[in-house]
Amino acid sequence: MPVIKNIKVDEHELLRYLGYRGQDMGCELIKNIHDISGRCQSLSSPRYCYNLFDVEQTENSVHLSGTDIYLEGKDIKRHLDNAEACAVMAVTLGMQVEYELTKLEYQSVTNALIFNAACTALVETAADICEDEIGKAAAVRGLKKNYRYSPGYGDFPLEQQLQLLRLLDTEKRLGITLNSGGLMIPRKSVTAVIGLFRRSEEMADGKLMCQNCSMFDSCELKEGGENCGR
Amino acid sequence: MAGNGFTLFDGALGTQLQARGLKPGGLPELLNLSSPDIVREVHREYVAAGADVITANTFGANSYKLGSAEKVEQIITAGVRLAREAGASQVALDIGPIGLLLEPMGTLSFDDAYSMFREMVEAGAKAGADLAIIETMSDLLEAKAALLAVKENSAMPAYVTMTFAEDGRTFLGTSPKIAAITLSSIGADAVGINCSLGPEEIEPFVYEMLEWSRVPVIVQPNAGLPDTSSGETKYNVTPAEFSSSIGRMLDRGVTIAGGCCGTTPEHIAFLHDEMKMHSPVEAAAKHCTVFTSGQREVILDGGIAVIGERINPTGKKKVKEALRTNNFDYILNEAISQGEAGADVLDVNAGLPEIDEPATLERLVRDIQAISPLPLQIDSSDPKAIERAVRKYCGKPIINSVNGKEESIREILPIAKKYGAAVVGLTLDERGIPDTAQGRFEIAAHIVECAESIGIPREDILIDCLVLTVSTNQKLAMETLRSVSMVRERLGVNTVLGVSNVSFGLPAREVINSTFLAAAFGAGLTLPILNPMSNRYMDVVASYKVLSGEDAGAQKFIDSYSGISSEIISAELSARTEDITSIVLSGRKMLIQDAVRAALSEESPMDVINKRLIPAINRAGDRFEKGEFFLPQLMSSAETVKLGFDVIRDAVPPDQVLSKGKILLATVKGDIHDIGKNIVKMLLSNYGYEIIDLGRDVPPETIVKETLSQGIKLVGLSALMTTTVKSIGDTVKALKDAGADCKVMAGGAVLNEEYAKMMGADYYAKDAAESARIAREVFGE
Repeated sequence: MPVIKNIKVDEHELLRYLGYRGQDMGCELIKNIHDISGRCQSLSSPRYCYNLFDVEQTENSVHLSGTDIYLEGKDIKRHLDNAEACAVMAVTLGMQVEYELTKLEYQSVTNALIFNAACTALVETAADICEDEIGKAAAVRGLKKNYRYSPGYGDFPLEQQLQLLRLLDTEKRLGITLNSGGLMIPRKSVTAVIGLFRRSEEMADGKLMCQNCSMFDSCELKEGGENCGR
Repeated sequence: MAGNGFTLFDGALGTQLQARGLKPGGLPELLNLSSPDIVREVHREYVAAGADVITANTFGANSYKLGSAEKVEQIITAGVRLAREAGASQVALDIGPIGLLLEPMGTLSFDDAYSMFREMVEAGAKAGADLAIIETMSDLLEAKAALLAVKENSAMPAYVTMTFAEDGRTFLGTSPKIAAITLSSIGADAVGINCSLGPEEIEPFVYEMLEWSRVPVIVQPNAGLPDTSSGETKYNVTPAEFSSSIGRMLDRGVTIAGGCCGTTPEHIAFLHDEMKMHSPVEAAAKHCTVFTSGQREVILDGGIAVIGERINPTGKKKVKEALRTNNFDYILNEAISQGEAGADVLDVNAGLPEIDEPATLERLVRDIQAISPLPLQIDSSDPKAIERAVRKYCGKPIINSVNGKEESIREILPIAKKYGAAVVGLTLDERGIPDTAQGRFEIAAHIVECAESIGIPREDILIDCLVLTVSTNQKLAMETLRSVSMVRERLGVNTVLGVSNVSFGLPAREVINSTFLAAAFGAGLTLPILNPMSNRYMDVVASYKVLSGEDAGAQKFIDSYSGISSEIISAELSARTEDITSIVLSGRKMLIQDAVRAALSEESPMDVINKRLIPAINRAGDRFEKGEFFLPQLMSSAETVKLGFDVIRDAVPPDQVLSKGKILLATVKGDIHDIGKNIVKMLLSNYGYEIIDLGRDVPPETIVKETLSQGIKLVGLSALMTTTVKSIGDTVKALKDAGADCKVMAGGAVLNEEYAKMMGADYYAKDAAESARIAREVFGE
């Protein structure tokens, strides 16, 4: 599977995940964050895979042609409204960062917290790269992409994660499985669906609004007047 | 047979079935019942291409994927029959990964994995499969569970292949070398590589396996790297290219081959013709002492390796406490620290009379394997404890120990043989420890003979000539060294010594120990058991590696010993008198312990806690509330305070340890996000509460049991996922049903006040600071 080489932790994003709002950090903390970001980069082996599927709209879902998979919920329907096809993608940082995260959880809460944020920033960057590749593959077919939308966003059921993982055969291709709680292992993995459209004006307006987010009630970013960029 | 000593397997089944209409994401095994003709047709084409072994369509036919054990039997029975009907001369029961990751990184227990594999094996054997192929494994422990299931429940030979990425590791970090060593030691009939990459890419990995495997090597590559650039998966290596690449491997010692994803009957037909042009070659496997974990190997090929001794309750108060309370945090940190200090292997001993040693040792070994990649030495005098821990160990461990007593030989050696472990033999028997080197040598020779007679290779036997205390008999130290020399020279095995015993009862023990260590290296010691956190010992180890030539060009020594400056350390120490509050607020962990010790010399422990540490953490909490600190700063302060508390706990007798009350914390069933709970734990323990931390993925029953038995008044439950929040509700209900007299606080990213109440929690803790307020409310000031 495609391996992504030489990507860096976006430390601005890392700090955002940690709730940083311009506090005076002191040089020790800055150095620590920098060191941990470096460790995250060296331990991760970001990989991705994706497949493209034609889609058919049904009354309450979107059917991925040639499969038995129906994506459910009004939010994913809206995301894929007017789409001709879609890409199903999965990205992971691999198991070594999972080992390190587990170790740090015992060793130092602070470092675990920072490492966790570094990994989140890195896996999002890896997902951006996968998304760019999908954009290129779609362009070959004369299609334009919107953006990635994951199980668990809005009313797109998290339970469909397993179907997407099996569809992509991620166990073999990327080493991603679910645990008994329905959580992806390695934790630093992303699955998503991207709509592919013949004409860009067919896409639903921009990004989904905060109000549709399952985290809306408890979101701290919102209170600070920010958004998570989903 | 291909006719000349090679065995030819078939090629891809999944991609062939997809070409005949299997939908992506569907379970191919279901076709055994719904479209048997298609499955049989693919098999038939491979038979026609010349395959000796047809792999039945049973790869994912386990009860997790299929949903029930009855279905497993139905589908496997049909699968084996279809391969047979296609005219296969041999049918292989195909066993793939279950689809859930095993503990400790995943949630599937070894026992559950084993039972699911056993269901497959029993069905396959009953249906008449000739052999089992366990394939596409990423997890060495899962491969081991499957291998044991085949060996213990059938007479089928078991071939095991793992799948490697382009970096030469499985997704879980196992190298071909580790896989070959471990699986062939446990008794696989062949080991090898399949899937993931094409023949060109796996070639170096195959040669690595050939170098280390004690059994035949099998290869089943894909038809090249998958090309997904079009949005669909394609494989581009032609049958001619495929077979000529494998031809090279046949000349190096591979004797069994076939194809994986993307290969076709044509690839197999070409490979069939290729095999006719070669003759099997005996690969010369290495014979040296090796220990492995899933991610690391320690190879003793004339060199030395350090075994860390710290995980042992003997004489260690904190280890005893950890084993008694089943809270392994302290031990796990010891494991991490020993690894960072340079240990190559960790000894793990859970021998306390008042605990269930087999269960504890098993759990301890599992948990250590989650946080340390080092191979382990399973240390116990109880054969039951040894077997349970070794069985579920990921890799090839060391068993510590067998001795010259008949009973010990009878009980321990078969365990080492069955699980392919290395084993330490102590030179003592029914008559005790001989005084003379000759006497100890004779016992060592007897142990080696007994081990070899049941098939344990000599390189897997390690001899401990036993170190006695020099203060009771000064002659014995030199006698021990003489016996080490004799054992090393005449038996050619590696030697173990627990170095520190020698100085018992003497002052400045490290000085004696390190001198003895150097002398023992000279006598032929290769596996010292010692405290790697002692610089003095590690200095001896590092310098001996230079003198023996193991550290080629003294490169490692030069890297670690040149340019060491003591200035940094002294600058830090000069600040020891600094105010505790400012140390806490700036999170300078290196300074806090000295500062607290200094404070303790002037004030009572209670005063240091109440007038210094707690006000300091309160200040950090205030800054966080006001937005002057962000989370890592608060946590860094909390960790600093915790180190301060550790100093006080060490200084105060155990019965005077104050507790403001016991709080139980757990991340609920199904969830493994620990960070939030750990933050709460640290903060609450800083306020003087005693925390019972049950860890993550904790079932309601365990929480109820501990709450009742320990009389807990406040339970903190955490969940991060929308899918696992309901486990909070289940747990609250279980607590209420059991009549537990306690309050429950709940927290986690997806919770809010309303949702927490809906789950039945008494309190919603939006952050760690809030949990401290709740605790004050429940327990009073």
